[in-house]
Amino acid sequence: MKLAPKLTILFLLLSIVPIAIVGYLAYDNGRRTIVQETIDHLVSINIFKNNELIRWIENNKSDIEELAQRFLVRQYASVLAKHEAPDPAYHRAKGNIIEEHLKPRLKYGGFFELFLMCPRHGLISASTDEKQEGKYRDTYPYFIEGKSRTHIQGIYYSPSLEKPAMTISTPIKDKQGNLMGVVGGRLDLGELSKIIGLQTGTSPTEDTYLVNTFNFFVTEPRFAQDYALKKAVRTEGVDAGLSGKDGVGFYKNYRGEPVIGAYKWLPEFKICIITEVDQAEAFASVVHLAWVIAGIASAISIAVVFLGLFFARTITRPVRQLAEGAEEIGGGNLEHRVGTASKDKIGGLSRAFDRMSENLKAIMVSRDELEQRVRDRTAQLEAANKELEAFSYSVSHDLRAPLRAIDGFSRVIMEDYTGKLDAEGKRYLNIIRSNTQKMAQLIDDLLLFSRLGRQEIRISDIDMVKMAKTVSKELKPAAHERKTGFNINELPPFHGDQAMIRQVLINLPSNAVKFTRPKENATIEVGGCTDENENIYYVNDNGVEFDMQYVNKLFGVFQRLHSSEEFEGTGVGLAIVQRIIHRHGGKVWAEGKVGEGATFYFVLPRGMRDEG
Amino acid sequence: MRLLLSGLLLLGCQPSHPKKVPDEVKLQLKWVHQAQFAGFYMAQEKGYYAKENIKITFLEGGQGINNALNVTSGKADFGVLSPEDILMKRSQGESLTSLAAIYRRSAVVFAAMADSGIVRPSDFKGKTVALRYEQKDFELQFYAMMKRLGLAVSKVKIVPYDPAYTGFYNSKVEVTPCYSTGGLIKMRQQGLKPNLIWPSDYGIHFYSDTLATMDKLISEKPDLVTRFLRASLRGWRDAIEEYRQAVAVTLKYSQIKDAQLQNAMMEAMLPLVHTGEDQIGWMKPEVWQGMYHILLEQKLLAKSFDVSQAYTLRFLKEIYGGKGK
Repeated sequence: MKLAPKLTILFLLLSIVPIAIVGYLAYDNGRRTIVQETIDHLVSINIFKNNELIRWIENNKSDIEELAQRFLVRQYASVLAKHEAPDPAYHRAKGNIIEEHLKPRLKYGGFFELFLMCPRHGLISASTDEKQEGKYRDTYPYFIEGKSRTHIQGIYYSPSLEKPAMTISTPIKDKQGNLMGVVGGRLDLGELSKIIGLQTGTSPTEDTYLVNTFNFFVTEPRFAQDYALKKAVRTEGVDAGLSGKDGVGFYKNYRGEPVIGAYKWLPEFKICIITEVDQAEAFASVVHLAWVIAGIASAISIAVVFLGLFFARTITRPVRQLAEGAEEIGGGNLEHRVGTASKDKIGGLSRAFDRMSENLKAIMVSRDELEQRVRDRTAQLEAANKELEAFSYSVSHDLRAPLRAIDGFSRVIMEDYTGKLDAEGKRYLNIIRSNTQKMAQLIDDLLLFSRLGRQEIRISDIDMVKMAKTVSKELKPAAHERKTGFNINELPPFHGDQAMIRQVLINLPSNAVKFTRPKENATIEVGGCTDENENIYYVNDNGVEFDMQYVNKLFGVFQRLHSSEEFEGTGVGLAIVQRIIHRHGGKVWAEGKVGEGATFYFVLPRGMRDEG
Repeated sequence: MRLLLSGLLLLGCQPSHPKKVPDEVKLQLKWVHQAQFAGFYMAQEKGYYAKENIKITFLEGGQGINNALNVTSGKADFGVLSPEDILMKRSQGESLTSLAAIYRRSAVVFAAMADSGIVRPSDFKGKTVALRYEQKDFELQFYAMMKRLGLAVSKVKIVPYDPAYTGFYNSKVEVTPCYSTGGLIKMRQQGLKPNLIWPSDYGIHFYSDTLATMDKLISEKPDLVTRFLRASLRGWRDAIEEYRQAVAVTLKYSQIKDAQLQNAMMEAMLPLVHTGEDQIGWMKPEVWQGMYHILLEQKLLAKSFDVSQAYTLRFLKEIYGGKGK
């Protein structure tokens, strides 16, 4: 992976890990706080509602107790207890107690029916609801208990009312403490439902209700109707509350909705108060908190990525530039400079690199200049050589025409004016002619020599033995008069220009023939051997030796160690040999000892294939 | 995890606890299949009988079927019987015992038209009241109530009871008894809002449906009695708490597939079964005492006997852990 992304990821990790930890701790702390607040709120609602319930019941209790202690109520009650229905006093008392005491009391709310029960059989002797009169309540707890003290009969279903009911009763006693009756009041449970269900805040799901020991709703829950004493509820919270516990739980409520619920057992009423709030609502702020934390974390992460990228670039850019510079210079562009303004370590490195490039460039430039100079000189030399050769060729060529004219006219003179010439004149003409012929030979040799310098080399396999033998046969006539022995030994085959090599094999033996002429028994030996990379050939004779002092002059053009009178020749033969051998990349040299003849060696490289 | 555990238990325990052959139990119902017996259906549907290793068969009651006789003769193991049947059979020497009171309030109610001015028994004077000739629940409670209030039955004009209430609807009959779980629903479906006179408001407390069996079964197979009662009461609890489901279950059994009627019947009987005071099925000695005295007064018992023999709280106490509340 590249350095920049690596650094960026490192930055990101270094920042995300602490952010994640801090974020989680903040979230967890926030969640705990929020949940605890919710729980505290629910618990306080239960306590508050419990107090409201007690207050409501106590108020109604004291109301009914006040009613029972009124002097007139006691008077009427004793009349009703002591007289029978047909008695006019009974009727009067009943009318008075209803109209003057019970009915007026109803107007203050709380009760929807107030009634008076006789001590005997619990007969309802007077009631604000006329239909209830004449009924017997002797088996009802509110009568049995109400005879001795104020009693609250919890919430039960009244079949005769066909609805849930709650009844408070209290005894009416005369001055002597004799029981004159029991006054009962039916509480308006709608009011209780209202008190319990009253919303304490703006929460859309907060729900408080009462449940009795049979798991039945006692008050209407917020999200249902007609549940009171008709619908049972079995949830974790209700079951815990009914088992006498106070606490909080996370469970599914009667709607199947996950809630946080606080339950409280109210032993004095044998009911359980439940306050619930949907978890969705309670956790909404937790979720919000999580989003806020996640948002902050994301923002920081993005910022870190950008910063990371920026710093990574700042760090890696010079390194990259340096690498690119090295690449560029390695590719041959010595003009390239990294160029940096930074003063840090990498900046120093860059500057050192640039200095190195500068020096390298200087070295390269001087080398190039040298090479260029060599190339220029070589070209100059080659041009001069070519000019020289062209010159010698054209000179040789152009010289032949006047030479032929001299020779031609000399012959014309010899033939047409033979009578007019004396012997001396003829001798002179013959000298002229032999010199022109010598010059022609000289020119031909020069032409050959100069052609050899320009002629292209055509490589082919050469059987050196065969070639030497053919050449020796051609030379035989020249050596005919004398006893000249040609010994052709083994000659390694060679790749080279057939015509040129043939010229070598003509020139060297014919040279040997020429210089053995004074000898009676001339021997010419041609042989060779192979070395590591080259073939070595030699031509040995037992003829006139040469002074090794002049060995360097042997192969020069027109260089002669003997006078032309002594040995004929143009002095070009060995120069031609040298040129051919040189063009084949080889070497030629000679060795000679006085009285022992001369040996010419030439060495040809085997690897030679082509001149180019 | 739980599934795994139960699977392991099943695998591990099956060989050492071979499943016993279920006890076959026949329950004689008081009438034809209807919501009145919803709790028993629920116990069956929810597998409470199966859990107690009981294979239950419901014997329908109806016209011409002597429910009490079917139990005393051994044709049925348990019966849904009225307390007066139990008391009368017992007075005749049959050892029938009530185990639990399913309907702890009587569904018997006397209806009068809303505009008739009849709101209490004393208003019956000089009015026409429909009654059967045989002494059954209506008549028992009517005479007991009149006697309790000291009202003269001779001042009331008794006419034959008509289950169709034709005479009542056309005002020829001014007061008619009916069941709050039956006739009253029909009247209300007609749009009537009759005045209701409940005998229980005048000191006449009757149980309606009680679950009874023979003393022989109690002494020989008390465990079976407990299991059967436990499953039945559990079914009743579910029927009360989930009465809409109970109605749906009832419709599987009942001939009359009128969901609306069964639902109304169910709603009407809920407060009779679950009174909000004691556990379902719970019985009070004073109520049995009261019923016994009324029957004795009306000379319906062949001879007097110890009423506490006619019922037992033994199984209720065992099931509820001794507590009624």
